[in-house]
Amino acid sequence: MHVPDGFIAPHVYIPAYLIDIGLLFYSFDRFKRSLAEGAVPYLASLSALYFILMSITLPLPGGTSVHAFGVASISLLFGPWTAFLSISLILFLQATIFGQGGITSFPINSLSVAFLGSFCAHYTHIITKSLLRDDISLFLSGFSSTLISALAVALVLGVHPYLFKDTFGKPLYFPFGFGIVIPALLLPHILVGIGEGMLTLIVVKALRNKL
Amino acid sequence: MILVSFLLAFSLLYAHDLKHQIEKEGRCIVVSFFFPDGNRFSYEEYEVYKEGDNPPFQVGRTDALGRVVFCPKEEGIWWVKTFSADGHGAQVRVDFGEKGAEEKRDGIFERYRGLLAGLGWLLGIFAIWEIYLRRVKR
Repeated sequence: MHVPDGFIAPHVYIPAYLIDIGLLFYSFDRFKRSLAEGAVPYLASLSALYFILMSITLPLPGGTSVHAFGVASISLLFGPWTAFLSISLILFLQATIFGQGGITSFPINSLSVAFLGSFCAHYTHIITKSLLRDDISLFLSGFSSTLISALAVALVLGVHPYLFKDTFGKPLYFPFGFGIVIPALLLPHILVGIGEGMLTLIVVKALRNKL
Repeated sequence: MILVSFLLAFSLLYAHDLKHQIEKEGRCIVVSFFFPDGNRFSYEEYEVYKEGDNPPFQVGRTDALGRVVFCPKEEGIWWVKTFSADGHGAQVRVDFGEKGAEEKRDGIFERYRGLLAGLGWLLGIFAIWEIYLRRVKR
């Protein structure tokens, strides 16, 4: 789900950069004020673990490959703004060091995976924790954050062939419309969501009493 | 630590980024696309452009080995774009000249180096933050 360079139009990534940078500054301000000194080593260790985890992909039939994120567990342990900042940092390092996700597409990856994923996990947990068992609520937080991120990436990619065409009607950037890209991204990420839900459950239960 | 070590080793086999290799065969260029785990980027759409030209010089799908083969009409900068419906893809710049156009694959050492560099940056940034917090607290 890391969008590479060349898929996103400047009309999309330039405004996305402005929004993303504004949100990152705001989240850094919140992070400065809210994070306790004792929590930093835990956040650093989890970020390092998820940096590696995001590099591990599971090849699926049909030639696609998927990977876990760890967004939900950081969001539930440290808050969604801290998770947004931490996961954006990981995505930025992946883009610059591995070329995994592009520089021009970084704000799309950051907003859809780090921002939407963190807040979706946070609010899913708030809504479901009083209605369901804690384990199920944690699982659903991880599951829903993965699917919402995949859907956001699919929508951003899928809108391109409708909006940006050359004089011959040929797509200038990402060429596949909603009918192809939404199932291509969402279906494999149902499997990732299950893994992410389990990861969230294990990590949050193991660490939340220590913070 | 055991888990991290395991993941570190494992991640080198299953990294996510699409890689490529450029080779010259006579007057033609072969660009091979593959994932670091060895999976080929097979049967995916591609487009080849001479820099500044539109429409594309060549379009098609990669072969079973994830290759794009094209024979440039002239020397200069060429671009090969490939993409799959799930958002994987790459844009490769090919400088086609007298000496041809060749680029070697990333070795395992480069992947270790990248992974360790990323971990170093992450832990370093958080360490600086921890030091800052301790100084502020005093």
